[in-house]
Order: sequence, then C-alpha cells, then structure tokens
Amino acid sequence: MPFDKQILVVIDPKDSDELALHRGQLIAKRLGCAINLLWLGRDDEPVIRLVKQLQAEGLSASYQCCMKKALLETLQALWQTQHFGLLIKTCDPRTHNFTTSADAHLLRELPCPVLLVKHDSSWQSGVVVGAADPLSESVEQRSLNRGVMGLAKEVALLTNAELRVAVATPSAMMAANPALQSEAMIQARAKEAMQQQLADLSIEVGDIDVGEGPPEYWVPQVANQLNASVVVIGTRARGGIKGALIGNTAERILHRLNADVLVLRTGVSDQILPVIKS
Amino acid sequence: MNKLSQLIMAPIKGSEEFAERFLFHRRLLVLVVFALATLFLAWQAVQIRPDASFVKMIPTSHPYVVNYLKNRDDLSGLGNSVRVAVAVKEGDIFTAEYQQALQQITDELFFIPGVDRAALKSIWTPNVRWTEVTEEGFVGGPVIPPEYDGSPESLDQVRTNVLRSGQVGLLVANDFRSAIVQVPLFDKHPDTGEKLNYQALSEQLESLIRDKYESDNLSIHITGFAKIIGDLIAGAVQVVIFFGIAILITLVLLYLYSRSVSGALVPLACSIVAVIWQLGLLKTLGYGLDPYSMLVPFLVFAIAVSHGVQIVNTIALESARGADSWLAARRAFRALYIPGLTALLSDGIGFVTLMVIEIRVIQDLAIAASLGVAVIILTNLFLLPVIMSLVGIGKTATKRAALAEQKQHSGWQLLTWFARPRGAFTAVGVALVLLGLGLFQSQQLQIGDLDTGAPELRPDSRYNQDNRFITENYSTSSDIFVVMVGTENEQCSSFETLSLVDRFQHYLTDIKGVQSSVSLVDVSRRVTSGLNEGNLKWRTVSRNQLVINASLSYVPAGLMNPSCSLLPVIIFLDDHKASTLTGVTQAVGQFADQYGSEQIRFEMAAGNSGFEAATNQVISTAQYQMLAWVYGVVSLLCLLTFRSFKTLICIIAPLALTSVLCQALMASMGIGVKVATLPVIALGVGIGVDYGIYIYSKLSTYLVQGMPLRDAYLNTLKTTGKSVAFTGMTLAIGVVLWVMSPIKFQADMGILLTFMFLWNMLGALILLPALACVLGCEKSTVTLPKKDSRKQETENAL
Amino acid sequence: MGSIQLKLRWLLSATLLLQLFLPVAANDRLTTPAVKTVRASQALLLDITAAGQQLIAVGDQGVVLRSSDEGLSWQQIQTPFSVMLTSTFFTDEQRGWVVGHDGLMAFTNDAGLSWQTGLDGNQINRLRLERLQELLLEAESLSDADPDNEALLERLDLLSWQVDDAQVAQEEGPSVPLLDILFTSPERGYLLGGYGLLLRTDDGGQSWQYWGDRLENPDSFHLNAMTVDHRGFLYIAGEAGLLFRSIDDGVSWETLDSPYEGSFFAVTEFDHQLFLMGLRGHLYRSEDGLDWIAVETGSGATLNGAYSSQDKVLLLGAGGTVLQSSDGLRFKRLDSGGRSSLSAAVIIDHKTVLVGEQGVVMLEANDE
Repeated sequence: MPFDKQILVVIDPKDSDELALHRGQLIAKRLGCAINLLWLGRDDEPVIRLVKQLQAEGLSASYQCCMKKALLETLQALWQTQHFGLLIKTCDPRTHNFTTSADAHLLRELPCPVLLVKHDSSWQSGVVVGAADPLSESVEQRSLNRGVMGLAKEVALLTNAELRVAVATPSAMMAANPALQSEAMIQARAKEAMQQQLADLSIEVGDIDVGEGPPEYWVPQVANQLNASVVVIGTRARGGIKGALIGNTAERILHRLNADVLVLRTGVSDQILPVIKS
Repeated sequence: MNKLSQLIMAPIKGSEEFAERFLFHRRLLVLVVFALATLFLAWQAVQIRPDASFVKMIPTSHPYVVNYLKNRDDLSGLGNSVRVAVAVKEGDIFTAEYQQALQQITDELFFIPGVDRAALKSIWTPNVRWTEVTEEGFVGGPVIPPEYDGSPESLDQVRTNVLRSGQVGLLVANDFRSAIVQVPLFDKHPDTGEKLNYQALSEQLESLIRDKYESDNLSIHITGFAKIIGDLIAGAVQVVIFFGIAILITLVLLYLYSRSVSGALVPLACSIVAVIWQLGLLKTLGYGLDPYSMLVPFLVFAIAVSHGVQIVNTIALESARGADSWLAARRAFRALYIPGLTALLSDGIGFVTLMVIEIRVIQDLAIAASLGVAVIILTNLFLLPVIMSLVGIGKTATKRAALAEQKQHSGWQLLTWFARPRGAFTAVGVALVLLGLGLFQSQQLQIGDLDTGAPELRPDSRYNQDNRFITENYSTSSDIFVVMVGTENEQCSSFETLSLVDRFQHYLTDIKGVQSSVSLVDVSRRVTSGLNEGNLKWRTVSRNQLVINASLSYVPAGLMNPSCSLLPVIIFLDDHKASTLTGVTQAVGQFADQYGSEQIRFEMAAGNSGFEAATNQVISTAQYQMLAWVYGVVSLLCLLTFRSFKTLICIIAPLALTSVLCQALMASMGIGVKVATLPVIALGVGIGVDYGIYIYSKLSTYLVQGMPLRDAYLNTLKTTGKSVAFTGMTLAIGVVLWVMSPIKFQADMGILLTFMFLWNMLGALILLPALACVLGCEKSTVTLPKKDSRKQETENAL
Repeated sequence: MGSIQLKLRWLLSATLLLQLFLPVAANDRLTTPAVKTVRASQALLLDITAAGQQLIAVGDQGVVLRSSDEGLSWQQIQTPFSVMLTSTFFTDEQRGWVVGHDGLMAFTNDAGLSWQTGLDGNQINRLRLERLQELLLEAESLSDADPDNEALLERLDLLSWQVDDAQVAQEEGPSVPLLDILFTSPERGYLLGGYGLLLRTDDGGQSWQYWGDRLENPDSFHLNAMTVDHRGFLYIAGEAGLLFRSIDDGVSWETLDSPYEGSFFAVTEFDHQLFLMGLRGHLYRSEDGLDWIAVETGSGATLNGAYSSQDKVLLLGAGGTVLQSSDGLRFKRLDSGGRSSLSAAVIIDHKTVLVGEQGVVMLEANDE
C-alpha cells in the first residue's frame, strides 16, 4: 500500500519535553511533508495553537483529538483514511514484565514506520546506526535488512550523518554445527555477509560493528558507544501469543537506548523508500 | 547421516531460539509459573506414600508367575506370609504363662488388617489338630483341648497333643522352646480390594506384638517378605537423613568451589525443585515410592547438580569477560543448550527403555527416573539461568573466574600428557587391561541372592537375626518353592495323580537344596496309614479310590482347590541362592518333561522362592537387554548430535569401561544382580554420559578453531573439566557416607554409586581425550578464510 | 436263559476279559522303575534282612538297598517297579523275595543285584477269583444235592458274596497290598496281604495258589505277619487281634483265642517262646500259642516289627522305640537316637542295623 507524504505526531499533553513535536517539526521541514498532530486530550485549545504555530512556519498542519486509552484504535481508524508515512511519538520509558507496553502495541499493529523519540538533539552531522542481521536465512529478514539499510542510508544522507552498521551475532553454541561453535568464526562470517549485502545495495558505510549478541545487548552497546542520534531497526512485529511469549527485539531495546529509534515494520520496506527519497 | 542428523537436530536447535527469547524476555512470568507449579507439586509430593506390593516385585509375564496368578485364588497363604516365633529364654513352652502369651499373640494377630484370618495357624488356632490311631480308629482334636485351664495336667495334655500333631519342627520348635504363629497376608483384600499397607502392618507387628510381649523371659522373632519391606520403609527415615547429609555436603562444597553464595544456593535449590517436581508428578500420576526406587530422587538430584554446576561455571566465565548477570546467564544458556539437552534427553529416553523389563518395580523406576530427568530440563536448564540472570554470580566469583582463566594451572597441565600420543596410548592401554580384568572378574557376577536371609538389611539387623533363629530351630525354612500340579476337574485326588506326585516328591529328595516337601499326597499317606492302625506299611497312596477318598476327607487349607483341579506341592528349600533355585527349576523341568502330560501338568511356580527363580531368570536376560537399550539410545543421540563415529567411541567407551568395572565390583563385593540392584548400572550410564557430552562439546569448540589437541584439551580442562571434576568428587563424597546406613541396600548402592561417579569422572577427563588423540579427532571440519586465521592465532595467543 | 440275558453275560465277560489285558497306564508304579536317589538310605524303609554277608533293605517308592559292609554304606539296586515294598525274605544267600503294594512280588537269584517281577495284583485278583469261583461251583453242586442244608446254604451265600467281591476287586485293579512273605523251605512259601489275602507256593514261587479261603476271616481283616516256630507250627497274626495257627504245614488253619482285640503287627519266636505284638505297645508271650501272657514293657508305643537272634530279641516301634530282651521277660529300652518310627532290624556281626521312617539307623553298640 502506498504511503502518503504525511507524518503523524502523537502529542501527550503531560509530556513537558515535547520531544515528539520538535522532532516532527524538524522532519516535516526537511522532507517538506504535511504534519498531522494527534492530541491525547479533550481540550483542544493548546493543540490549535500548535497547529497555528506550525502553519506559521510554512508547514501544512492539522490535528485530531483522542483519548489516551483509545490511541491505538484511533490510529488504526486514521490509517484507513490517511496512509501517513511516519508516526512519531515520545518513547514511553516504562518497561513491562507482564503486559505488552503501549509502544510495543503500536509497533505491532501499525503498518507504517514508527519513530520513538528519546532525545532532543538534532540529528544533523551525528551518527546513524542501522541494525541488521545478515546471517539470517529467512527471506523476510533479508528484505527487512534491505529496507532498514536503505532507510538508514537515506536518513544519513538527509542529515549529513555518518552511517554505521551494528551486527549482533548469536553466541556460540556448543555441539552445534562447527560453524556455530566458535564466536570468532561466527563474527567473521557475519562481517563478510554484511559486506556482501551492503555491496548489493550499493551502500557504503564507515564501519561494520560486529559483536556478540544478543541484539538487545549489542545494538545499544554500539549506539551508546558511538553516541548515535538515531538507530534504525526492523521489527518482525510478532503479535498474539508469539508476541506475548517471545516478543520483538525492537521493543526490547527501547529502554536501553539513548538514541531515537526508527522502527521499520516487516513487509513495508519496499514502499517506504519512495516516500523518504525526495 | 549428516542429513538425518540435521533433520532430527533441527527442532532442538530451532527450539533454542524460542526458549531463549521467551525465558529471558518474560523472566518474572517464568518465575511465577515455576513457583506456582512448584507449590502445587510440593503439595502433591508430601502426600506421596510408600507403595510396596508383592506382585510388583515379580515378573508378571514370566510363565511361572503367569501360572501362579492363574491359580492365585486357590493358593492361600503361599504368596505372602509372615512368621512370628515366640520363644522362651528359660524352660520350655509348656507353662501357663507362655501359653497365655501365645494365645494372646495369636488373637492380636488375628485382628491386624490384611491378615488372612481363615489361614492363620498356631497351636491355638482350631485348624491345627492332633490325631492318633486307636483300636476304635482315628481320634483327634485341636491341639489346645477345649477344657484347657492352665493347670499342670492341661499342660501335659498339650505336650502330648503337640507330639501327636506332627507340628514339631513346623509350628513348634524342635527343642520345644518356641512356637510359631504363621500369618498369611492378603496382598489385596478379596472383599474390599484394598492393598496391603506394609508400613502399617510392620508398625503394628512391632507395637502390638514385639513391644507388648517381649520381656525378660519371652523373645519375639518375626520373618517374612512383608517384614522386610516394613523394615525397609521404616529405614526410609534413615535413608532420607543420609540424603540430607549428602545435600548439605554438596552445598558446602559448591560454595567453596565457586565462592559465590548464589552460585551455590541456586543450583542446589533448582536441583531440589527438580526432586520436588519429580515426586509431585509421580504422586499426580498415581505412583507411590517403593523401597527399591527410593534412590531415584537422589539420582535426580545428582544429575541436576552436575548440570547446574556446568551452567553456573559458564556464567562465571561470561561474567569474567564483562557481561552483566542478565547477559552472562543468557549466553550461558545458549552455549550449553545443546549438550545439556542432549545429555538429559539421552538419560531420559535411556531410562525409559528400562520398561522392557517386565517387572513392575523396575518399570516404575524407569518412569520415575525419566520423569526426574525430564524435569531437570525445566528446572536446571531453564529455571536456573533465569534465576541466575536476576541474582548474578557475585563479584568474588567473577574475579576468581577471571584470574583462573589467565593462570596456567600446572595441575591441569599434568593431565595434558594424556592428550599426547605417548600418554594417550598408555591411557588406552591401561583402559584395555582394566577392561580385560573387569570382564574376567564380572564372570563371577551372580544373579539373585548370595546369602541367606534378607540381603537388603545388614546381617546383624533384627530381621536377619530373627531369620537365623527360625532357620536353626525349625525344620521348615522360609524359602518355599511351590510346584502347581494341574489336573482336570475332580482329578487331583485320583490314584494316577497322587501316585505320580508321590514319585515326584521322592525324586525331589535328591535335589540339592531341597529340605523337604509337603502336598496332598502326604495327607493321603498318613491318613491311609492311620486308617490302618498307624501301620507304617500302609503309609503309601492306596490304589483303591475309595480308600483315597476316605483318607482325604479332611484336608488342611492350601493343599488342594475346591474344584480339585490343583494340587500344590510345597517344597521347602535350604536357601534361596541362585544356584539352588536353578538346580530346583531344572530338576522339576526334567521331571515334568519325562512324566508330565495333558492330564497331569507340573507347573512352576509359586512361593517366594518360586518367584525368585522366575525373577532370576528374567534378570539374567534382562541385564544385558537393559544395557543394550540404554547404550543404544545414548549412542544414537550422541551420534546424531556429533555426527561422527569417532566421537561416539570417545564418549561411550569410558562409559562402557565403567559399566564393566562396576559389574566386577559387584561381583567382588558379593552383591548379586537382583531387582533392587539391576538398574544401578543403567543409571550409572545416565550419569556418566553427561560428563562425556559436556567435555567433548567443549573440546570440539576448540578443535574446530584449529587448535591442536593438547591446547584444546588444556582449555577444556580449565573450564568444563573443572566442573566435571568438581561434580564427580562432590557427589562421590556425598554418596560414600551411605556405607554407614543401617540399610545394607543403601550402603551397597553407596559404594557402587561412589565408584561410578568417580570412575565416570576419570573416564571423561582422561580416557576421552586419550581416545580422541588415538583416533585422530584433531582435524577440524571447518576451514577458515585465510586472513582471519591470522587474527585467530593472535586471539588464541592472548 | 433268554437271548438278552445271554448277550448281557457275554458282554460282561468280554469286558472283564478285556480288563485283564488292559495295559497298565503309563507311569504306573507297578511297571515304572524306581527313581534312583543319592539319599535313598534315608527314605522310608520297612524291612531289612541278611542274605549271607549282604544286607538288603526295602521300602517306599520301590527302593531296594544293598550293603556289603554291614550297613555302613548302601547302594540302590535298580528295580522295574516303584511301589512301596513291605517285606523281604531270602531263602539262601542268592535267592530272595520282596513283596509290596499293588500285589507286587518280585524275586532275585543273584543275592539282590537284580530283581524280576513275579506276581502283580492283577494276577493275584485272577487267582483269587478263579479259586473262589471253583469253590462256588463246588458249593452249588453240594447245595443242589442237599437243598435244605442250612450250613451249606450259608456257605453258598458267603461264597457268592466273596465271588462278587473278587469280581469287583478285579475291576478296581491291582489294589491289594502284600504285607509279609515267609518261606518254610526252598519250595514252600506264603504271601500275606490286606483284606485277608493268603497265597501259597509249592514250587519255589513259580506258581501260586489262593489260600485265603482256608482261614476263618469273614470280615476280610488284614493279615499282617507270619512266623514258623521250632515245632514247624505256622502262625498268622492280623488286624483286630486275628490269630491263626496251622499244625499241618499250612493245609488247615485254626482260629486261636486272641489276647487282644487290636491289631497285631509282628509275631516271632525267641528262646522257644512266641512273642505277639502290635497296636499301642501291646506285647504277649506264649509257650504253646494257645495261652498268652501280657508282657509289661513300660512303653505304650505301637510295636511294628521284631528280630530275634541267638541271644536277644529286639522289638521295634513307633516314636523311635527299641526294646531289647535277653530272656523274653524283661525288656530294656534302647536309644535309637531319635523320635522317628522304626519298622525292622537285623543283627550282623554284633552290629544292629535298624530301618524305619528316616531310613537306615545304626544302633550304638550297647552293653548288656
């Protein structure tokens, strides 16, 4: 399904930092696309002011109101009419042990890319880290890799940032295939595979950071070390029982990162690039 | 084979990702679920009861037992009975005090639940009579006359009656200083269907009889299968205490080894949880614990500890490399997943194969052991890492692990000699010599009991003392072998049947180990003689059927069945040694072949010695069957995991050596292979294979990177080898204390298990690498890209 | 007689004849050899005798034992039968006899090394039936000649009954036990058995005649023991105090007044005195066989057998009883070493060998 050149920003009135709003402003300006505000509250006076502000800056802006607890339904309803190309939200810091967090629900249910904002600094001339899994044999994962790397490259171009790749390799398993028994060998293979895939996409990177996983550990490790501004990561968006039992890596790294997280959903990677390429 | 292996191993490997992500993303949920399950199963576990049963001990599809079960209803008192001997220390039994005590004891026994009242026998029961021939013919009466009043004349009358009753040597001792009450039991009450509660019975015997009546002048001696079981169950408390001590020792040593409180407590706790789950599941499935499978919980504990230690050790290593507790635990989980799972699956499936042995007790043990091992997968492979991810291993342990990795252990260095050609061949050579010696010595391994009495208990135990007392003072032993002579209806008292059985009993006198025999024929002979004024010349089976019928007008219970189609010949043996039983069964078989026919069938066997003969036969084939199955399963799984026959030999050969040496040890210690000891060697295989799989897995991760065997072996020793050595030693120390147990069965098992723990450990640490060297397992199977191999060397050098 | 009755009679005779030739069932103890056992000398043995320097002991299950060393060691001789053997008698060193249950009589000509069956119960039944049928025909013709003679009619009744009884016995099979055997000369011998059975041979055992009709034994009591005294008089003692004497070498027999109503099991002569003994330890002594005096032995155990030698007489009984006397008046109890019943004894070279319930028992040398 095609994406509209429109971004949707979720604004929580209780959120004093207005991280999502600022980020949304910057991106909308950069891409030159329309911005739609989703206000989580009844009182629409503040949001009307914000809309006027944005319009004043030359952006095409509009707004909706909804209740916080109806966020997901509202978004899904919205999606039926507007196929916004990007959803921006402030990252909810709470971690959940028993239930799925609101952010995770968003990541699973919405077909569009989601940007969860964690800091206010500009991405300009920063570091963009793309997280990929080159050793996976699954077709879905491969296409996701392509989508993620493509998206990361575009973002890096747009923001004049350095593009880095974080590859988390699985730990060695004893008594597995010999290829899987040595960490060094696994990492060597992963690096080689990543280079090959990047070459296929004609993407040049600064360096490939290969490290022993799991991804929940390594990707934040790399991102924090490099002081990345944004991490681009894909998600398999497992829902239902599978989602309840094993979850999605993208959801799991949210609380470990200082950088913003741009999550690309499986299956839509091909459609999103045209939207971003301007 | 690679394809097949991949096909079968793929689910295991695939499952790892799922399990890992679930366990480490949903830790609290996992903990809650496990906690709830543990609570439920603990509640079940404390309700578990001893569940001993006579029929469970015997091979129910062996022809002897089939014959017995067919005729079970007609054979009263021959399955399961207890003998209570009441003895005076001074004087003889013909005193008023003694007779009063004997009468009261007989009455007490009458009312104990589970007793077959109709078949209860003592000189005070009405079914024990005296007979005499006079000019008028037969006279007779109960041994205790109705007008008995305790006066000297009455007592004299009793003495005369006892002499005339033929019970001297049977119910009255040869020296007249004791008398027996014979107490047959219902394994299952014919009316209510409830099972005999051995524990309650034994307790009642002790409190109602022994404690109440033993005095300065009276001593009570009790023998019988039910008492053995009762004593074993009573001794279970002792058994549990020894388990407890072993667990404590394990805890202390674990702490000293890892210097981490969590690293000691958590594996121990998870292992105990495994035992709780095992017992709880058993109870839920409707099983109980019988005295012969009381070792299984400890074995489950031991196996769980050895896996737990591996994981904790790996966590420590990961922590030393800088990982936090969550990461260390997650990586350790992944690293050990395949070897742990393979080892436990091979244990579990291996134990399940014990079900081929058609003895209920062993089948129950197979279930208990497999359940236990399956549960270990959940508690020690899954739960343990999750808990460790939350509590971490502690700074001390991390520092120690980091130091240890850098140090060059001179101690381990010595062992690497075995990984070099000279050392390897020496080790293999010594192993072959030991194998030869072991095979030679294990020729002497006997099936069945080698001593008299109850070998599960100590020779100086109360039971065995009582057993000796009865054997010395009475003419009938407690080792009974019953041949069931089957005929058509109403033919059991025909002349043809009786004269053939008469011949049979005469034939039996020549068999070594046969003390005497009793059957309907003896009744007919004696009464025929009695009908002719007691003339010895008439003490034979009359050819005249009318005379026969007259001679059998009163037949004591148990010598024929109501439809007169079954005639049991009760043979009293000197002992129940395997050689005696084999001799008897062969002799009876020969007679049956020569003289038996469709009309008169000589079928074996009932009586405790009859069952033991059947059991011995089943066991002699079963022991090899069992080992074949267990080794087969274990080998198959190893083969599928490691995809190499050489690897298979490296892992299995040390196990096989241990099995052979264990058999030799049993032979030297005079432990016979019986129902109780049969599974020990199979269980030992299950314990040992874990070590081999872990060591080989670790070894191959180094070999695969191109390391020479010696270096790979040294690194393995420093990590996995250390855990294996620790586990082997700790469990051996815990178990060796069992030799002090009053239950000889537990003491014997203690020695065998100590031996197996230690020898398996040595085999995995020394023999496995030696075989790897000899068989040339060095070649790695993966070639590295050239530029990275240089990086590899620099990494290894660090 | 009607044709139907004729046919019935023919049928009956045919069936009877058929039964004579019916083979004995497989494993029948009359024709199955005795089981050879190592512990045979501890089996139930009932009689023992000397054949020259050899000792022969016989007993249950067809056991025949032979000892050449005065009872210290025994070999079991293979026999073609396994019935209980009750008595043995040797006419000289080589020729001997043994009798037992199911009408078995066997003989040896080589001092007991091998034995052959001479008679069995079927043959005995036949001999008995034939003889009784003969007597019946005689009695019938006598009665026909003198129809009003009450005594003859009574005898006819008795004989008819006895013939029927004999026929029934024949149908039942060889079930009569032989209890004693005695030869008064190498040719003349007697067999005694249960239910009043008596047989005599004049040709050294090759053929036998039924002799039981000559004894007054209307209740068919068992005939237990027989002896011959120094005058050549024959005595038969039996169940319920039966006592017979023959002074004409066995042709005719008189019923003697019995001193006891219970069974006699043995009769023997010692020092020209007759000793009669049996149930409950009753023992009687007589000079002439007519007057009997009770002998007090102090023992109430049944006496089973007796052995007399030149200088002493031994009585064997139940409960390990051994009574010895050198004058026939006072009996001393000897210790047989146990409580098992004894049946017979023999003294050879001053050694006393007993047999009984537990087999062979050697008596300790005693002092008078």
